[in-house]
Formats: sequence, structure tokens, C-alpha cells
Amino acid sequence: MVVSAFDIILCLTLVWLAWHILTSPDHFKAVVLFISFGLLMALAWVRLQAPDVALAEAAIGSGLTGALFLSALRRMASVRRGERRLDRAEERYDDG
Amino acid sequence: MTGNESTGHRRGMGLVPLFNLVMLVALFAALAWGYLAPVSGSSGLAHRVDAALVESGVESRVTAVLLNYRAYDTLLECFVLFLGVVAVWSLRPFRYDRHDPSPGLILSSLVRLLVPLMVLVGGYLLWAGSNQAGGAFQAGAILGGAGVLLLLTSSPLLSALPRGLLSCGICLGPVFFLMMGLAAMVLGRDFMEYRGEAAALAIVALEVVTALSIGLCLAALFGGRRPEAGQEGAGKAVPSQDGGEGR
Repeated sequence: MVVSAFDIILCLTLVWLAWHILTSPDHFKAVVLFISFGLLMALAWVRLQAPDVALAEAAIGSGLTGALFLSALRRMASVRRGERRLDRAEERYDDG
Repeated sequence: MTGNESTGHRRGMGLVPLFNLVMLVALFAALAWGYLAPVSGSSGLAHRVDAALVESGVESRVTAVLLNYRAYDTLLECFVLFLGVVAVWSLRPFRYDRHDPSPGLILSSLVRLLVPLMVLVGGYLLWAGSNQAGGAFQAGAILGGAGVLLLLTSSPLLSALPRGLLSCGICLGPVFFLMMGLAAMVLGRDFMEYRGEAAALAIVALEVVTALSIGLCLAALFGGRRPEAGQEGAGKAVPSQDGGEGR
């Protein structure tokens, strides 16, 4: 088993990214970093000779989870923007 | 961390990032040890997997493990996704207070180009799964991604999809998986025991159906809530709230 300089840089980048995802006060930035973390993680799986896991990680772990996080962020933002308006909209929905 | 908090506040908060850092380093060290430590003697289950590969109906070891030897795990994974969609649909419905009716020229033409390509790539991954990397979950994820893109642009393609078909498609994966397992029992084998010639056919059928169902589940998770009964199409209700997400 050969550990190249590339692997070491990849591992360090992953840890650095994970650290920034956890500590970032800006949620949007954390989500974007999470998506790039997923893509680099897929690269790490390729280096570990697990292309199946790499495909699943890139498609589900990074792509779809990232999209879900972004849509959750948007919903959170619209809740924060106008809570009263949201309540009325929900009541309207429940009636109809 | 941000530098504009008061000193006392920052000192109190400093413990949590420190704890995170320690845990990260410990996890990293454990992973590195697991990867670098010499494996002595045993080669794991690889030789047993290889020995039974002829009977399994596929040439790829990973697909053989996922859909034949350990099909039970994959069945439960399908149920997890299904329950996820049921949970999301049972949550209180929520409506955006603002949405753009038009997704924009660039996004809509990009989606028009990308979606057929994604369906093609998903089909290829499904087919490639029998002898190399790929398989139902990867193909399903690509199809789910295509669904998310269609949701973002409130494509008219979605409103052509009947609402009942969406629910059926989401249930179909786990149900078909169970039926195939039971069919093996009817034929005198154990639950989900596929062997020989019939195994190849069974696994291809399982892969196609689960990939479609997984794709629908993932797109439905992104869609957020169940399409309303009053609407004539599944897409009518979902993109009306999600249409604004494309920038």
C-alpha cells in the first residue's frame, strides 16, 4: 500500500473542511463547504479503490443532500422573515 | 471564533470548538490507524464472495453482495427511504411566502439539455452495475437529481405525471423487493435466495424497479410535501412552492 503526497493532502483538506463546516457561523457557507467535502470524500473513496461508494457519495452524499440542505435553508429563511404571515398562510392552507 | 464577541463570552465558547478539534483528531487518527495497520493473515470474506460469484447471477462483487448475498440490508435501505418520504409527507404542510413563477432562461434550457443526459447516465449506471461500479442506488440517485432539476424549473413534464403514479412508484421499490423474496420462497428456496440462471433475471428486474423507486423517493423528499388531491398532476402542487429555488 503506497500513501502518496496526494493522499496526505486530500486527508488534511478533508479534516480542514470538516472543521470549517462545524465552526462556520454562516449556514449557507457551511452547506457549500459540505458539498465540496462530499466531492472530496468521493475522491478519497476512489483512492481507497471503492468506486461504488464514491459514486453513491458524489450523487447522494454531496448532490442530493446538498440540495436538501439548500432548500431547508431557504425554508428557514422564509420562516424568519415573516412568522405571522406564514401562520396565516398555513391556516389558509388547512381550511382549503 | 468570529473575533467580535466579548472576551469572557469567547472563553466560555472556546471549549466547544476545542472539544470538536480533539474529537476530529481522534477520529482521524483512528481512521489512519485502521487504514495503515497491517492486516495479518485473514483476507476477510473476499474469497468466499468470489467462490459463490458464479451462482450469484452477476459479475460484480459489490452488486452480488448488495442484491444477492445481503439483499436483506438493501431491502431495509429501501424501507428507510420509503419511511423518510412518508415522514416528510406527514409533516405539517408548509408554503413559501414568495416564489418566482419563471425559473429563468438559462436554468430552464440547461435543465432541458441535462435531464435526458441524466436519464441516459442513470440507465448506463444501472446496466454497468452487473459487472463494474454502478448499480441501483447510484442510478436512482442520478434519476432523483434529474427529478430535483425538474422540480426547480416547475417543468410541465411533472404535471403530466399522475398523482397516483407517484405514490405507487414510491411504494413499488420495497413492495417489489419483498415480492421477489417471497417468490423465491414459493419456488422452494429461502427468502431472497437467488441462484443460477434465474438470479441474473431477478437481479436485473430488482435493480430497474428499485432504481426508479429510489429516484422518485429522493425527488419526493426534495419536493417537500405530498401533492394535493385537488390538483390534476403531481407536479402542479410541488413546484408551485419549490419553483422559486432556482437562482
